[in-house]
Amino acid sequence: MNYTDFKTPTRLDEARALLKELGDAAVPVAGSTLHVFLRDETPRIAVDITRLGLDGIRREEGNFEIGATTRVAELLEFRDDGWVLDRVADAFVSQTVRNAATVGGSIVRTFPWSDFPVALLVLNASMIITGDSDRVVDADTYFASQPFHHFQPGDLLTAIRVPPLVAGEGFGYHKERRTGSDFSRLTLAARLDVREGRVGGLRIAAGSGVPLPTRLTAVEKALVGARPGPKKFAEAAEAGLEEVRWRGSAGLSDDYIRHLASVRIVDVLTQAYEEAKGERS
Amino acid sequence: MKSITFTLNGRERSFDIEPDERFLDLLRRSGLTGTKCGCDNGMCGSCTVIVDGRAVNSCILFAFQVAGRIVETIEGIGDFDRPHPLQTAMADAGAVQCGYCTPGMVMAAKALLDQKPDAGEEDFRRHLDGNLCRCTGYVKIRDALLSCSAGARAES
Repeated sequence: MNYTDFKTPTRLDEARALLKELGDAAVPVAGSTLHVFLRDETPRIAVDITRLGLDGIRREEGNFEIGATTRVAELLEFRDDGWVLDRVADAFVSQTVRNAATVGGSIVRTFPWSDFPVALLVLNASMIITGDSDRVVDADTYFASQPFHHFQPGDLLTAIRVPPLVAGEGFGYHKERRTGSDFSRLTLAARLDVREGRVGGLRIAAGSGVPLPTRLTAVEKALVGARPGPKKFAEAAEAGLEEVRWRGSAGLSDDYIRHLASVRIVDVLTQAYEEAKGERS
Repeated sequence: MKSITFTLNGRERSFDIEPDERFLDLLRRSGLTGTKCGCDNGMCGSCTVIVDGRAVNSCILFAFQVAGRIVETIEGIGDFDRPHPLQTAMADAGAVQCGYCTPGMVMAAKALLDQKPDAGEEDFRRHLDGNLCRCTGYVKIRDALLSCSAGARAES
């Protein structure tokens, strides 16, 4: 990045006023890890948003509210009933990057390989944007396209609201990568609940093997109301294979990723089902 | 150029920096060359320093981001005459070959032990998963670092 100046505001209103005044000339900076991959040489003014008190995880009216500048490492360390984002954080690059990268920075711009959008889609999270008019944007709307569409100059993502898992619900997550710190080649997440022996509700999403993180609604339709089990999961996975165009990367062919998806969809469904039954430790 | 002030190895220091200067470059041009530049994109951990108690890659950190923070580098934790126990353990275990990754390994391990003095093998694996060594194969590094945990010392 070509920063020509930097600002270090210590209050949210101060940061917002700066961003609004500077417009496209300014860019909010938190962990800065993302900027390694952005080859944008446009001169910009960095506005450091890590001193605004937007970090930390707390319970708010039953939900988890995660401050936008909360480090990914804190998501890994946090523990509470119904908290599952530690599993996503655990597969996020490396500890030195987890210590710097923020959860907000991971979702203000999405890439095919972005980890958190996949999980936040299935967890039905909401993004809280503070601006001239504060907004709460549900995950389906937020991730339907590049998130910058939701932001006006001076707007900041300030928190992410995540409903906890409750009894009878389970979460499955898988990130396919060649090395520990590799980009994801295929990410899948599922949240499933079981009611009276049948799938009551299901959200499943894919990332990396698809152009942008997306829900697999054909899999959801195939399973809601059905009796869960390996055969039914495999049938549902087949429906998911037809729903999107699977894309390979880094020498992995489209066909390989498609085959991998058929296996890993079943895996995350199984993980989520076992947890919903109380069988996952 | 703009001035920033932060605590570096226990002393408050001020530096004039360029807005787009990386923290690694600031350290090295200031004579603190113990922090190494490896991959230059946050993947190898050779440039690991501790900022506010957490191990981070200084190659993907901008210098302005450490303003007001507390920073530790390899120079601040020990020297040839008075090495840090982690440095002694690395030398004693033969965990150093070319030595390029060693400062980063030591800093990442120190951040972990400062936070969790009785860290076990799984803790070291997780906390040093961003620190790569191309020489030793990690076994001796693991042995050296583990020997410094309170748990290992209690057993011996």
